[in-house]
Amino acid sequence: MPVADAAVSLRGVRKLFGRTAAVDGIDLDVRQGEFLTLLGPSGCGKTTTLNMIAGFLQPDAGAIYLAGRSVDGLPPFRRDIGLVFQDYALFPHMTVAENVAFGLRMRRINRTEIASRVAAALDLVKLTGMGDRRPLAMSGGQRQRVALARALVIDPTVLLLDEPLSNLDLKLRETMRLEITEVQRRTGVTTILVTHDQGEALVMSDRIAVMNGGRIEQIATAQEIYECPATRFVAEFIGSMNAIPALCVVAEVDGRCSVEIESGTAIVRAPQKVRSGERILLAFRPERSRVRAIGRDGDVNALGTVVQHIYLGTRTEIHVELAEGTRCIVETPNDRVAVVPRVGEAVILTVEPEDCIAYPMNVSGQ
Amino acid sequence: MRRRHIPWAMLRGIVVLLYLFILVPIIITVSVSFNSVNQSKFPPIGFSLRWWGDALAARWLQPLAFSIELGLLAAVVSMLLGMPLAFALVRYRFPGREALTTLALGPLALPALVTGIGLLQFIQAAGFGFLFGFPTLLIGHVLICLPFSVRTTAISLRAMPANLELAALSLGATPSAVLREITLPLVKSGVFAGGVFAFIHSFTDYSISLFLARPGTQPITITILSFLEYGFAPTLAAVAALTLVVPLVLIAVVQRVFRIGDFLYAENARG
Amino acid sequence: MTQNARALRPLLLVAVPATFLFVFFVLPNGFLLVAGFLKSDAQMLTDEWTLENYDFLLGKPLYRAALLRTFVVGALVGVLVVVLAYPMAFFLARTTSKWKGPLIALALTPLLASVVVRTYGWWVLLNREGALNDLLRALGLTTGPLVMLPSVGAIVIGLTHSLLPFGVLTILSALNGINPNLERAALSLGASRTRTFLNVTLPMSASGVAGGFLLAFALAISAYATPTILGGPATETMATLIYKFMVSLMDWSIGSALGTLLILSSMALIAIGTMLGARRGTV
Repeated sequence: MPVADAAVSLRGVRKLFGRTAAVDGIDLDVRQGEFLTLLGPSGCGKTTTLNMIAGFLQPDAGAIYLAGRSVDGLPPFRRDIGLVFQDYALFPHMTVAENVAFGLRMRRINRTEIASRVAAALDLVKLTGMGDRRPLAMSGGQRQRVALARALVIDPTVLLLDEPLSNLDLKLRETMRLEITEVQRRTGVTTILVTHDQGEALVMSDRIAVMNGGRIEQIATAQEIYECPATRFVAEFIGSMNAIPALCVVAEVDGRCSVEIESGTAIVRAPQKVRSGERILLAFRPERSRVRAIGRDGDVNALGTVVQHIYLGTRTEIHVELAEGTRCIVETPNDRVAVVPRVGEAVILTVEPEDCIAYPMNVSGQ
Repeated sequence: MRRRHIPWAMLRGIVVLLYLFILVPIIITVSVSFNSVNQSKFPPIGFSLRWWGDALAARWLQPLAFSIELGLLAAVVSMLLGMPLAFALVRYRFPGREALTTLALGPLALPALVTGIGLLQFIQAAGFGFLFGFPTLLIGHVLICLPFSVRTTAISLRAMPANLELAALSLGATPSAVLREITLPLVKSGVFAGGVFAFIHSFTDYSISLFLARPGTQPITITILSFLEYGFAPTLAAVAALTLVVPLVLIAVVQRVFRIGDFLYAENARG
Repeated sequence: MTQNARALRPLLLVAVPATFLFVFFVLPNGFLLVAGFLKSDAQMLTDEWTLENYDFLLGKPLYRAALLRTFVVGALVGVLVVVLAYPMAFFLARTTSKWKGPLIALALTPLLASVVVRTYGWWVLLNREGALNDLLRALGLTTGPLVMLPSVGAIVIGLTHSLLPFGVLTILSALNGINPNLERAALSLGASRTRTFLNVTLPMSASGVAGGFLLAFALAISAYATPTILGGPATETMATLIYKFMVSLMDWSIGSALGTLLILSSMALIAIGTMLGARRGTV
């Protein structure tokens, strides 16, 4: 996408700390009004990237564009961004209304307009009438909303959320996820969320950029990332993934390869480069596999023993130890027809080739 | 936790004795000042306010006023010097930061007595003779007050999450607006506490004033000390008690505005 | 803002205060060090380098005794301060009384009073016709007056009294820093309250005790008013000697040598403290 069309663009951005590259070449385009999440484990460079977009850090290489304009050398207070910090960073010596009004004051908006915009922002985050309260006298969830209102009221080019939900307890987190998403849809503000919580990413985003070691491994919608993870890292980071060793018989050119199965060979997806005759990992999601008494033709079949059941309300996890020692998890929904084998029973784990992905065996997963 | 009864009662007893130990000499000084005879004896003999009347003579009020002025000036100057210093030491990293921190707390760590004689000689030798008298005394007092200012300002700064300044920047505040709107209001209490401690330290000091004071620019502590050579008259007790009143009143007033006690535990405040 | 300008910022901030400290603190102390090695002639400092000042101080028994006395007093005061301050600090740290705040303030009020105020009271108490003597006579315990002043003992008592608040602050700060869960863990594992105190609380507050001792020691050796008021010609300490040489005798080179000795002693104490991990004094 041309830089001018995107709300936020990064081209070849790198950041070094000492000799380590915290961010190692990022290309990214965030569309106007889009909700994009930078998802990854700690140390993957997502917060560093956010800080560079905000202007708190300068990239060592590459360029960043906001609304089509380069922000190279531009300090944070001239970038028209809205930030929500993990610890909210509300000004303790100001009331809620004064906090929210701060950005407008810095932009020299006149007082009557400030008052009406602050009121509207508080309405938006469901804190109507709380303008006179002090942040210290509010709960974590409320403070979160004040922080959100403060960042939104200035109508920024991009809203940046730095792990805003990690300080909240589970139930509140789930509520706030939906609320933030709703607010974002209503205002249409371009948003970038940084988080390590994949649940958040899946629920809230239009697209997710999975990061690892300073690079983006895949940018796609939640569904694509879940169902077609581009690398082994992404596959293992999002949701759970089973992986059994297998043999790649012939590597096709169009991102597929044929693997050896009981009844011959089957074609599976191979998003990363694999070689013919190479040992590979065959990966599949727990909910796409089944345990049966006998194998099915055309499926990938593996013999194993049930070692554990875990009842999870909507579904049951069946842990199966395969003949060669690998452990796999099979998920079955807890509907009335499901028959769950007993611990110790010998079963056949089956999964259809369309639900499998082949990844190279080496440790780095690249 | 329920208190262990017997040992705790014993502890309470010991503590009462300790409080007596701490307070009795001060009480004695104050009571002597009300003696009706010209003797510094305790228990008090009669009751009279004449020594307090004497204490309010110009001979005592002038140095007292001088001490107050000196204290205020030293406090203000040390606040002005201490704030940027504390700020740099807390928020930035730069070569020599450790050394500068030690230096900033130095006048507190080394005996004020020696700082006094060092300053005296240096000014003489370096040809700054024109600084003798009040300027030198002020410099000496600022030196011993500076560590307080740096320490308490640093405490306030560290208590302020760094994110607040970043948040303000992200909302469009220029660095000077950040200073004005966010940083200064939040370090106010630390700076002020430093000023209060500085004033009290200056007001009660004698070590550095001993060598730097000249007749006419004598703090009250030195005046009292010099008169002690002639004997222990109740008038002196009254004057001494008077010098106790000033810091007490100050603390009482300040305590209403904010909790100065929070700044007592500097805890290795290295700036 | 460019990287360079950003790097300059802290330097701009510290420029004035750092210069002030350098000119009026570092240089004078350096000068003091130098002056101790210069000869004094007719009350003026000369250019001649000499060791005779230190020779004088460390050679003459009179002055050696004074130096020794200073350190003995310092050590005694240090010990007494921590011994007395600990129970008080422990009480203040653990009490649940609603008067806790005012009690702490009360323990610290002597800091507001100039040393003269406090020492005056001791004089009234301890002199030949003082309150204590009157009391002892009234109780029939003595016939003639006990001469308690001037004496080293009186100085020790006076200094202990003056410096007690510092000890309380240091130890209180250390006690407050102990994670309460540690004591709860000990109790849950079967240690009685006394044993918990001895095995957990006391060792963990040791840094405060060490810090308090060193602070009291350092302040005691440089004290002037108390030895002057409660002492006499036979109880000279380093501080009173410095005054004598600097002001009465106008012998600045010996005064400087003494001053240097005092500085070195303080620095040695700080170094020992840092090595032991002692908590630094709070005031």
